[in-house]
Amino acid sequence: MATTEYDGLGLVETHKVVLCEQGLTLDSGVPFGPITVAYEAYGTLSPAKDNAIMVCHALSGGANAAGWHEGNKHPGWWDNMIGPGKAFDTDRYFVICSNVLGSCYGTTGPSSISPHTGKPYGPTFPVVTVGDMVQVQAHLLDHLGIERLLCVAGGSMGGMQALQWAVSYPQRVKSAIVMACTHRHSPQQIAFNEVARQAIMADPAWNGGNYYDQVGPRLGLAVARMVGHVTYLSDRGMEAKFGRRLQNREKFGYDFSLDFEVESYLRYQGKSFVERFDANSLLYITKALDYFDLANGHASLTEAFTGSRSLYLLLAYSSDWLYPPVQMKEIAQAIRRSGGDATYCEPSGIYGHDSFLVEHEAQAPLVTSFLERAQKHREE
Amino acid sequence: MLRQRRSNRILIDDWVVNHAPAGGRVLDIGCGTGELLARLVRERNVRTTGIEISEECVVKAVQKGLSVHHGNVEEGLDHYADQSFDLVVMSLTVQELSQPMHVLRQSFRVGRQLVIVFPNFAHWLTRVQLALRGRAPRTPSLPYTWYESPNRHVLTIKDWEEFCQQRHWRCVDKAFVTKGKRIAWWANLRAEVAMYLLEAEPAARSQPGPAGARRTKKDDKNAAVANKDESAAKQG
Repeated sequence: MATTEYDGLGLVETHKVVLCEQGLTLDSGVPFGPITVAYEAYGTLSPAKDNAIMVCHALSGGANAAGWHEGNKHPGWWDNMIGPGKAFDTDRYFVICSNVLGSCYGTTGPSSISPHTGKPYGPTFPVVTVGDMVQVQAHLLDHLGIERLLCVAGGSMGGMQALQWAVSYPQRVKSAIVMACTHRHSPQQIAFNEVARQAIMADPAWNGGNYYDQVGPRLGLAVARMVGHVTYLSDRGMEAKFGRRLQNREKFGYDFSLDFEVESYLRYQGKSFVERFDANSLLYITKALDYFDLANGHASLTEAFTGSRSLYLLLAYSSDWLYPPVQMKEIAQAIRRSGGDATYCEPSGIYGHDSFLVEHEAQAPLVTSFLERAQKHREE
Repeated sequence: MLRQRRSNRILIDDWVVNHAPAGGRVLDIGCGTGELLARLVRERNVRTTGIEISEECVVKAVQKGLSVHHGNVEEGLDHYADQSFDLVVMSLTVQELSQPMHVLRQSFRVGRQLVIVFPNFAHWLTRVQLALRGRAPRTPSLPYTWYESPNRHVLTIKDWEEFCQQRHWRCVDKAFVTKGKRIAWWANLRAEVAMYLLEAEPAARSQPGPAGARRTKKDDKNAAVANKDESAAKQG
C-alpha cells in the first residue's frame, strides 16, 4: 500500500454489474449476452450529472485506473493522471473506467464462464470490435444514469475507444482526449499483432484456445508480450535505459543464457505478463485493434466526424513509432476539415508509445486546461 | 516569433483586434503563447485557432483555453477546408517562413481576409547601418545578430506592395508603426512595422458577411489614412 508521500486516491474497489441480459448485437452480427462489466468510479457525480469522464484503458489495462487494491504492488494504470488535484481531478470530476469486453479483468471475456454452458467461453467467445467495447460502455453509462460525458479519454486502444465514442455517440460526448493513437490500424500495426498471435497459437499448450483446465500457452504469451513491449518503447528510450549493458556478468557468456540487460528486462516483462493476462484475451483484443477503422461505414474519415461537435485534444508523441504522430495528424485534419475543433500537441520525449502512461508531467497541464475549456464550452 | 518593441506589439494587436469580424472565425499563424487569440476571444467573441511550432508556446496557449495546432504552418494550413476562416492573421511571421508564397496562397484558400504584419527592412536605421556603417542591421524591430536571426526573408513596404499588386490582392486597410505610434508619411523610410488587411478576390467582398456589417466610421477613417499612406510609401 501507499507510502506517506502518496498523493492519490488510496484504496479503491472494482464494482461489477450484469448488463445486456437480452443480448447485444455485435458488429459481426452475432448476438451476445449477458455481459458482466467490471468498473471503477472515483469522485462525485454532480447533481446536474455534467462532470462525468469516461477513461478508457489500453490493450492490457483494466478497470483499476487509479488508486490501490489491497495487496497490489502497483496502483492503477493512470494513477499519475487521476486523483485529487491531478489532471483528471477527482475533486471536480466523476471519473469512470471499465474493463473492456473480451478482456480478463472482470468484464466478460473468453476466460469467463458462459452462463449457457457453465464452462469458460474459450474459442467460442465471439470476435469483438472496439465499437462493441464502446457499445457495452454506453450500456454501463445508461446503468449509471449518465446521459452525457464531459469527456472521454484514453491512450492507444483507449484513444480508439474515445474516438469511437465521439463518432458513434456524438450527442453523448462533449469532449474527447486521444493520446498515442490511430484512426485505423496500419499494416505495420497489424503485422506486430499477428506475430503476437502466432506466438500464442504456435504454443501447443494453446490447444485451439481450450486450455482453462490446463497450464495454458505460457511461453507463447510471454513471447507475444515481449514483441508487444518492444513496440511500446523507442530506440532512444532503450539506449537510455539499457544501453548495451550486460546483466550480472562482466564479459559475454558465449552462450544463450542471458547477456544483455535488455534481454533480462524483456524476459521479465514476458514472464510477469503471463501471471496476469489471459492468452485468449490477447488474441481477441489484438483482433479488435486490427479491425479498427474509424472511417468504416462512412465515405471518408472527415465524413465520420461530421456529426460530432465534440472538442478534441490530440496528443501524439514524437518518439512513438508504433502509433506515429502522422496518424494522429490525419485525425486532426479530418476533424478540422469536418468543421470540428481539434487541439493537436506533440510533446517531445523518449518513451515511445508508452509516453501516454509515463509523461504525466507533460500531459497534465494540457489535460487540466482542456477539461476546464470543455466544461465552459457551450455548443452552438 | 520575432521579438518586437512592446509598444509596437500593443498597437499591432489593437489593429488586428479592430479588424477581426465580431463572432467570426480567426486563424492565427504563428500564434506564440496565444496572447492575441485570447484577446480576440475576449474582445471580439471570435472562434479562434492557432498554429505554433514551439511546444512551450503551445502549452501556454492551451492553458489560456485556446485551440492550437502544434506543428509547422504548411502542414497546419493543409488541415483546414476552403474558406474555414473569416480572417487569417500572420503577425511577424512571414519573414521566417520557408515557403512564404505557398503559405500565403494557402491562407487565402482557408480564409477570406488576411492580416499580414512584417518588419520593414527599409527602415532608415537599417539603411544607415548597412549603407554607412557596412554592418548587418540590428534595430529594435530587427534585433538579431546575423547568426541568431530566425528571419529568412528580407522585405520592405515597397516590395510587399508590388508583390500584392502583381497578384491582384486587394488592400482593404493598412497601417505603419514606429516606436509604438502610427505614422502616415514616408512609411518605407520611417516604419519599423507594416500591417495590411488583404483580400484575394474583390468579388468576395460583395457578399454580405460579418466583415461588411462591422465597418464603422472609424474604419473608414483608417482607410482614408491608409490611402494617404499608399502615396507616402511610394516616396519612401
